[in-house]
Amino acid sequence: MSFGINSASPGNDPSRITVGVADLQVTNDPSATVVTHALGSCIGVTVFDPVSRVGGMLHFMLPSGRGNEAKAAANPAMFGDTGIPLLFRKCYELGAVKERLVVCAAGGAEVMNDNGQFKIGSRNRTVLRQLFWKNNILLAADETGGNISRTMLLCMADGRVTIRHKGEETALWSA
Amino acid sequence: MVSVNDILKAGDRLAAMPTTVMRVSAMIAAGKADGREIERILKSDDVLAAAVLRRANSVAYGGAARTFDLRESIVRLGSRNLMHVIMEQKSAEALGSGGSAFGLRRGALWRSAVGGAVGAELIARRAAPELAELAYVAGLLRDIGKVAIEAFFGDDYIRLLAPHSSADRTFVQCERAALGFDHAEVGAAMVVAWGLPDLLCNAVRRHHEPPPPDQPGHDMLADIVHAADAVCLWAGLAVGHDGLAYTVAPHVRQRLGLTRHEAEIEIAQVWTAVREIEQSLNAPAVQEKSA
Repeated sequence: MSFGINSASPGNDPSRITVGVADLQVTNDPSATVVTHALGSCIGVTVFDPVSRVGGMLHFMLPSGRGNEAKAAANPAMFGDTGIPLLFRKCYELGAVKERLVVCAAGGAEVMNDNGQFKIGSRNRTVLRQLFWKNNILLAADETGGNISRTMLLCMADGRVTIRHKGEETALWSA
Repeated sequence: MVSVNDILKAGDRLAAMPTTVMRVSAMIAAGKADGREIERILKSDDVLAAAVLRRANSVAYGGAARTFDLRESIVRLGSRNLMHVIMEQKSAEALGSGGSAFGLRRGALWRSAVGGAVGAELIARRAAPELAELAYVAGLLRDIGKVAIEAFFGDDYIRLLAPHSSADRTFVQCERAALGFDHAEVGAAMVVAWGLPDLLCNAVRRHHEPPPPDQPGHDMLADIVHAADAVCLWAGLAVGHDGLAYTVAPHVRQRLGLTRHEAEIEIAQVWTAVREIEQSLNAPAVQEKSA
């Protein structure tokens, strides 16, 4: 069983669950791979419970829904401060337990000369860390920053998280 | 050494966009909507007519009463919105499957084009309302050079650029180091060949590096399209192999009053608008392609 708040686009591979921008998906299907593409300044967050084999992924675009309340209400996955709690809640609904969750993050890139003006990527990283700090959640692994595009994959068979950049895959977390 | 002309001459690169888009672009640029011509375009194209019906019945325009009549839909939307529907639908047909040479997934090049159009119009309405319609066209066409480059080099393009890539180079600097020109220059040459105004050509050419006000080539339209391009990047609409290897011109931030707060609101607005347009057109969903 899997569900999300936006429409998933499974493509040709039924075991592949694609998470769009401002989207989240959770599943307990051990044959599934959850994937999100084109993480630039956006951040991808994965959670995985190795016991219940429940996992999910969020691809949020902006740090906070404050000032954008209507959009945050319509699509909480657009923002870190509304999307991250929702991702965890959806996983708990499928049987995940907070203490067992393995949490990873990727993305949060910045344009080359931002010089502290917009800091969309770094503010996305900050809201992620603040939320985790407040809720006693440790990041098992993260690959954030720089100015590159990343694809993030969560393998539901074993919770392995990989990052793909220009066709090259690297392991971010494995049991 | 390959030149911009080689890219345009090889095959039929100028047909990268349907002539309908060019005709409607020219109407918008001239500030003159030809109602008869718009109606003729719509009636000769079933897909477009269906898109107009869907848009006329959308939440934004439909109100309580649904309509299945094309003429009533045309009246309901008005010429400006009809031209936008035509541009968005026809560009979806042209750009929907492109972008793989730049590491963009299926549909992403079109979503980026529409995001650029919507974003540029939004920014212009705030900063220079008289440029709003031109900004829409310039934002839509800004990356059209990518289509010609992809048709010429195919998926080898990124391998061609790889030896010239470095941490301190933007993507367009990398293109120029490899080829002597970049995708924006190719796009500008296409806009010239289509007979569109110089102002549009300049905005397409300079949308990654708009000159500051004290330098030749500066104009507000290029600044607006540059800002819209950054908004699209932050909205995740145009992130390919190039990642975020771009700069945001400091003078654009100041001239357009693009604060962090303003940028975040526009990022959310542009992403939402693109999604709504995609749904209303039944445009090709972005499908998986390796990044």
